[in-house]
Amino acid sequence: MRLIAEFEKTGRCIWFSHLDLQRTMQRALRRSRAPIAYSQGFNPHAELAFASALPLGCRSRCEIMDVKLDGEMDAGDFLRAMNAVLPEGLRLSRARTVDDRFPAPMAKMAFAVYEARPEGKIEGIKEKAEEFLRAESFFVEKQSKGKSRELDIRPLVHELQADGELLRLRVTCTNADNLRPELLLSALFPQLPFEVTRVGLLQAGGEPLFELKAGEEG
Amino acid sequence: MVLLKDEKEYRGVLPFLRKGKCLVLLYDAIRPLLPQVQKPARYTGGEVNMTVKDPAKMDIRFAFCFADTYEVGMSHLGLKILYHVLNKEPNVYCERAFAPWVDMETKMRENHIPLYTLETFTPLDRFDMLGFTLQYEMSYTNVLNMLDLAGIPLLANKRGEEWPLVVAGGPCAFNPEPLCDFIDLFMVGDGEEQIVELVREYDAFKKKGASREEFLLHMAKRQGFYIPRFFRDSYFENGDFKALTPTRDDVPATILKAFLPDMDAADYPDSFIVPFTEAVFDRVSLEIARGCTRGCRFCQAGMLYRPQRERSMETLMKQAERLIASTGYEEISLSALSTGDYSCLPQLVRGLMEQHKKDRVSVSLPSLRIDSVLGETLEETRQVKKTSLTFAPEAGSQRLRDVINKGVQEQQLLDNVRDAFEKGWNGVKLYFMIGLPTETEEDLLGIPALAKKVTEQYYAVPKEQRQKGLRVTCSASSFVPKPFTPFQWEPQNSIDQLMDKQRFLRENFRMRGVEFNWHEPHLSFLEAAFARGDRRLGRVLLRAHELGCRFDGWNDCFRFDLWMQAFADCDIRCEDYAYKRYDLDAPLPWDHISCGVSKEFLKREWHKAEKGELSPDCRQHCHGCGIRATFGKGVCRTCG
Repeated sequence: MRLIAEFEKTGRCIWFSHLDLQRTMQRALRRSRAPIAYSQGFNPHAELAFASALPLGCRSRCEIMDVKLDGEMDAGDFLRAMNAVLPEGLRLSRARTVDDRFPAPMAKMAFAVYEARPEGKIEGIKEKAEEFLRAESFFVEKQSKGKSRELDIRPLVHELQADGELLRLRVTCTNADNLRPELLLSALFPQLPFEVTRVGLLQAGGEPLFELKAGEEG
Repeated sequence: MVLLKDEKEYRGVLPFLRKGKCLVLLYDAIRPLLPQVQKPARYTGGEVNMTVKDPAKMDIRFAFCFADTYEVGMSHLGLKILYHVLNKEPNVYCERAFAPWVDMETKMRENHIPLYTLETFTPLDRFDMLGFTLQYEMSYTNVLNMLDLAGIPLLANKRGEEWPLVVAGGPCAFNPEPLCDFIDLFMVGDGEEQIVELVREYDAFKKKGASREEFLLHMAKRQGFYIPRFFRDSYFENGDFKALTPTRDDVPATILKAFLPDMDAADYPDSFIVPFTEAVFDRVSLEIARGCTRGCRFCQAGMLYRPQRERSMETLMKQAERLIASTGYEEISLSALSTGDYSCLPQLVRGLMEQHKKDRVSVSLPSLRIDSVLGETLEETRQVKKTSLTFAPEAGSQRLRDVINKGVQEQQLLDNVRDAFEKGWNGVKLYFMIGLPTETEEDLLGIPALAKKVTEQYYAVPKEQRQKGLRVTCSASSFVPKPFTPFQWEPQNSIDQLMDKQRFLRENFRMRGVEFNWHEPHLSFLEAAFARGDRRLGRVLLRAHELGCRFDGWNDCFRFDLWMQAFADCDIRCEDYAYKRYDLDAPLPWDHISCGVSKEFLKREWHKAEKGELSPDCRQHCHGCGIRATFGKGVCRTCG
């Protein structure tokens, strides 16, 4: 059987990468004494997958992991065992057990929702957001593998809403396409740092990726 | 003023720092910088098993400073042990600081952010004590740079009572002279009890309201503590070192190292901090023994940590169990100067395997000596995870191996390698040293010849039985004469000689499946000068720091030109230190420190080296190194 859990990444934990998160979770799983299933081979590790990689420096309250168990464990017990051994800044909020045939959460990923709070005074946030949405294309410079290229990010942004000083973004987040909110924010508001939190991972129809069935642990 | 939005992000009390007219939390000041630097998790702490205490309730705040990057420092066993013993003291909070990488250093300097500890983001100048561990001569500029980044005066005589006491320990504290201008107190020897003694004494003096000078004088009379300000150096007219003498009658002229007789009674951590971002060695390490019985004549650690002391298998099994449970690590490594010499190694490896098999924990054995009892042990380390095989023949010919007392026969090595290849290994690392005393071209040619024989052992195993893809890595470091070894009087080969030898080896190393690496000889040249340096080198160090030297051990940061300028500016020649052949009876700048091994023994070993005579393992025969005479009967397992 498998366990799908939702967790938060905050505090000092926002400063380590996705690779570090994988290692940290692997070790937390070992410390928790949960009956994890190990992979075959010379470097046995827990069979563990994440729905989506979170950009470094970004907080989240909705990350999803999927871990394979070699035996039975109650979702509530798993939650408590893990939270007892996780560092400050990583906390499991909900978990559910699914059987092995349950589709991987990663496969259903379509959108990510972020909230961005500017760290400092900001003028005309609403206007800028509306202007962006009216545009048909919006090119930014993207650095990848040492090369810089022009990328149209407009098609990747589905929602950009100013709520007071808070910006809410819904962007494409799949295996193939993924927009880091920082790319958009630094293009719209250069020089202004934002505190960015991922608040939702959504399926294509807009429903949350992590769903609880009645009677399950939350 | 920027304030934390979510106070729950921290435990503990956060320090404040003055910036312009308003107070800003230090963490908030570094937060905007973090996305701009590589691996920011090195600068934010908060890892699993980090000690959390309320600094406001502490009598002593101690900053453990490691003069290299986070990844290197977090791999260091000494840090884990000392962090543990200090934090066991209820009134002491030990926190960590590392040298920020150059990108972060630049950002910190631009933004006037002082060097701080990872636990509470407290600037180093707020601590009672800073403790540096000196692992390597070429990290000295980082010691200075870290003090500078913290805004602390570098020179000990410029620091009044308002500044932290700066102390240092580790292997380089056995010849600390080049650092004497900067450090208030050195700890020589086994640290885990000594450092607790230090903080307890300090606490008592602080509560009495005594002065720093009184405290240091008090410590100067205790075993293992060296306070440079109570000693004066003198030189002969030709510039040779003459003597180091106490400036007061009540300060002992010789400092004997602190010594821990019983490893089972010694404290060892129940948990290690588990870094988020990968450390160089990221696993449970068990210190199975301290010291070594082999007596290789170039090896400083082999002399400094005498006698050899083992931890019992029972203790180690318990420690492993607790550490695996508290860290979640997937690997245990056995640590000792000579792992293969541990008396019940096969039983220990088997025991650990058995205990952790269901959790898929692997056991690895680094620093294997080539004549260690491998056989069975080899088979078992592969049972769970394949770990690399390392051999250190050190020299290419039997003659030179005899000179350096590496009592190892080529056939033994080849048999072991063959055995490993038959059992499915395909990677072997071989460590050599060039520039050893008496070395000839023939000895050098022995290095590629041995590598070739190793590859032949691989091809002699039937194809279907051996693992595909042979990888033999040969590394040649350059000999550096080190204090407290029988070769302490020897000159180092010149840079040109070493480069010629490296070129010669490269030309003779063209074979399939074999990779040849060598060390930067310019770095070894400086290392030799500082390893055998006296107080006068303090000026050079300070000048090198002013010129911008730091991270000298890192290829991309090492600036030999600046170092040479520093020597020239101080009118001191590096050659006079590195290439010097000391007279056997000449006074040495480290004569006031004692590691328990007598100078007479080192001289005897020097003479034997000259004749190519072996001194067998001291478990077979006691050579009278002086340890028993120093520490009393019963300290040495072999000679009693």
